[in-house]
Amino acid sequence: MDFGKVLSMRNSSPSQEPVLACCNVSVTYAMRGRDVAAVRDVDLHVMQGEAIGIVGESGSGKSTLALAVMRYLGRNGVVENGQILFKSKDMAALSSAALRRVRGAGIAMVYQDPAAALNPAMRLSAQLIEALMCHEDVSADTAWTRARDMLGALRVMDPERIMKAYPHQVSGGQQQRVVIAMALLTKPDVLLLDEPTTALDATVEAEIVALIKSLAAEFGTALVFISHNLALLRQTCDRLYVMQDGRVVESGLSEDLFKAAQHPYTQALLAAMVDVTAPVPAREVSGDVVLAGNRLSKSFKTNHAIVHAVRHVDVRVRAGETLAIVGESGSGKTTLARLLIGLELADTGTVSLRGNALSDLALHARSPEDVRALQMIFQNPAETLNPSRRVGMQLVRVLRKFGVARSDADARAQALKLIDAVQLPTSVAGALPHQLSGGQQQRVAIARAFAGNPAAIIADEPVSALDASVQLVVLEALAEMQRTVGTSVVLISHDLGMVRSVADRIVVMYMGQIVEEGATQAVFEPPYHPYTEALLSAIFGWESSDLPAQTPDHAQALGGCAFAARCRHRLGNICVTDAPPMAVLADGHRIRCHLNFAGSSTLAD
Amino acid sequence: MVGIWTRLYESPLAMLGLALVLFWFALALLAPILPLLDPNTALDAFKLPLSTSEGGVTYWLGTDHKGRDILARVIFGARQVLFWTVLASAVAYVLGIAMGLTAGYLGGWWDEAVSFIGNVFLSFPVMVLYIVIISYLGAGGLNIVFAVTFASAPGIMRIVRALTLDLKHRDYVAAAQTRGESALYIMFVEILLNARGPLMVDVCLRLGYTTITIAMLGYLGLGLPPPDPDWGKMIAETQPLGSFAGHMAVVPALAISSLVLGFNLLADGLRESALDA
Repeated sequence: MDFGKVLSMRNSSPSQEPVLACCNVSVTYAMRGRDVAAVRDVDLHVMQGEAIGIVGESGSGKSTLALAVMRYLGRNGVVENGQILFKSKDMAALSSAALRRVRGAGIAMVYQDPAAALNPAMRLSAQLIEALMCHEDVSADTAWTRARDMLGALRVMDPERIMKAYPHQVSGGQQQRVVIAMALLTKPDVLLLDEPTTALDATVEAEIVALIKSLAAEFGTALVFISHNLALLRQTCDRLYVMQDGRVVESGLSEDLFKAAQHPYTQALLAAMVDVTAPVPAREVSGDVVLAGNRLSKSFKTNHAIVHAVRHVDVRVRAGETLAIVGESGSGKTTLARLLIGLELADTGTVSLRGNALSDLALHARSPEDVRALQMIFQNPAETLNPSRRVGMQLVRVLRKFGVARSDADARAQALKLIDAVQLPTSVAGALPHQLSGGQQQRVAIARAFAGNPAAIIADEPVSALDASVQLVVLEALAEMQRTVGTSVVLISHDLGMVRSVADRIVVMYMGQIVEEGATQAVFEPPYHPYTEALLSAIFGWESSDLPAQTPDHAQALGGCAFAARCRHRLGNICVTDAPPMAVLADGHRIRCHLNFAGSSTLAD
Repeated sequence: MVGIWTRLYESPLAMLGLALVLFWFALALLAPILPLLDPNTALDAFKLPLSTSEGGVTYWLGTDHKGRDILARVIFGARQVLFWTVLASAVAYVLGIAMGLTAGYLGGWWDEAVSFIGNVFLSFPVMVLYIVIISYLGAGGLNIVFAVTFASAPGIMRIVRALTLDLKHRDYVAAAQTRGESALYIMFVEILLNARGPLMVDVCLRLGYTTITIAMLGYLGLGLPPPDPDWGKMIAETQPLGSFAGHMAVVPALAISSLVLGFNLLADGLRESALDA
């Protein structure tokens, strides 16, 4: 890569030396009896104040590289050769005392899972203050004030209350802000962020990344973003490194890389990005209603309050249709899925399948025919298959259970056909689930769900745990099976952009309620519900809508609009006190909002 | 989970444990066809190891105070100890697994009832429980099985229940529910089958405990009825004479230790390879 070009671009930078550099670094893990190379000959550097991104899929070695920089590799991990230089000093040569000073004050790290990074038994204030007092000679009072101000700078609402809380008492987004505050408090020279926003909702992700950028600019901190999310890196990083199998296969300025990727792997990664500008496939679906939820409600009791996970939700799925249910964590979309399939029983409301009411029947009380007709695909590929039974046997069991196959030999033949239908080699039948990749496991799960020729399938985030390049392939396998069998699919997802190419209709949920519903094209075009607008701006990178990414208490929201606290189109008091009506626009497009939409009529609710 | 046995090969300590356990099982199985003296016939009393009788018979491990060949008694004792250890553990596991699986999977009042009963038994000092049960029912193999089951099943129940509570929230269990599998199928095929890693570790540890228990009951005179040799009783009988014929107690003590050590090392190895898998 052209070193001079980068330097000239950043000629405002006072230092000519990179603040962090990896020269020819290779890392090997010793697994019983054999060595596995995780990172091979990686050259990489960051200048002061610069933001670089390392992109790659799971197993590409990007996290290992970050751990090697921090000297946090486990006992079995060794830096085989090469040097890691922080401010021109070799990290490997540092004494443990010097290393402690560098960690935190020099290089700070933010991990993917904030819940695992915080000590559950300590108040957040104690953890924040500890980080600061370790590295600087400040009084506890000063440290407390600075921690509070840092949380304020990260737009945490009511930082004083958050600081007194324990980690489990605050949301995931707030936890990650606390972790980031902890990392930034000491004004480190380099901040390593390992998938910092992967566990967060899209609207929260956009805001946190913007905040990190502006604070880093203020402190002159260099940022190293590690992510599989190319769109995010494109918005945030000056330069990108693409890693595959432990090697950097391509690097360069972000814009160059996006315009003209040289390496086939980078090209493949770019091709796997969801194209949110492609036209929405318009399909006419006018079959009978196969699966319907009528005014479903479900609440859960926690220690402190009653959480209304699903409130008066109506959904209808027609034959052969794909209905996407989209919402952030806590929107009630998974609870809705479990109500529909019968894993949970609704408090009120009914579920009907092909006209038969079901919901007062627990799953085990349903007729075998109804059980066969409604199947589910689960989120976590590693848990979706019984780890102890061979893939083929698991499919045979379903085929026999639903009476699709008359004999064991017939079932085995049909299982192989199913495996072939989801584009897996038939040798997979003899494998145990752990021998398959996540994408392969999820394809087997799709085959299993379709085995009984169901009338409808509920897919709960079927690809969200998979690598970006595999997501589209697996979704395509699902769509292909759907076309062949003519099944209806309810696709649950947090990602509005991903469902765009496959869904016929979209339901947007927020806090247990449907806030918008309509044909895919209609949902992606104005008018929008303000929440849909926020989701879309996260996808399209629209001007930040400046949402306070805080979730108001469920109880608080019960009186008025659940979204009122975050809404930028808020009309005033009416949003807090009165429940918004459902506005009905053309072609079954509905929006639950007090705003006036041209040509709409309202529906009493 | 998979490949536990191949990983086990790579751990020298686990292999030592397996060797010790197999050694005793092999001796126990082969005892009737090995060229041994009769374990219950009085020959020469107080013979030291490697001494020879007037008739030219070698007492490899000596004889005891009644003149019985210690080698034969230890090997026939292994038969007794292992038979009752395995039987008692198996019965305890059948009961403990049935209780733990149903309590964890079904939950509700059944879980509370089973857990309460289990906790009541766990709150008794184990020794007292054994002594009460055996002295009430009398010494004998089946009564030992009964006592061990009472003392062990609640602990097994708790382990199986905890594993069940974890595993029953896995997606593959939900998948089995959504295809209408029976509760029995889910408990055994979807849950118990996938809990076998940690359970195998527990089985090995508990076989060790049970060996100690049976030896201890024998030592206290609550063990297997005479004349069958029993390691615990062999120690109890000969211990007072230890000052001039120590080997009489040391040999059965070594037998107990080596067998229990074998079980424990094997458990450690299994735990390590189960964690790695």
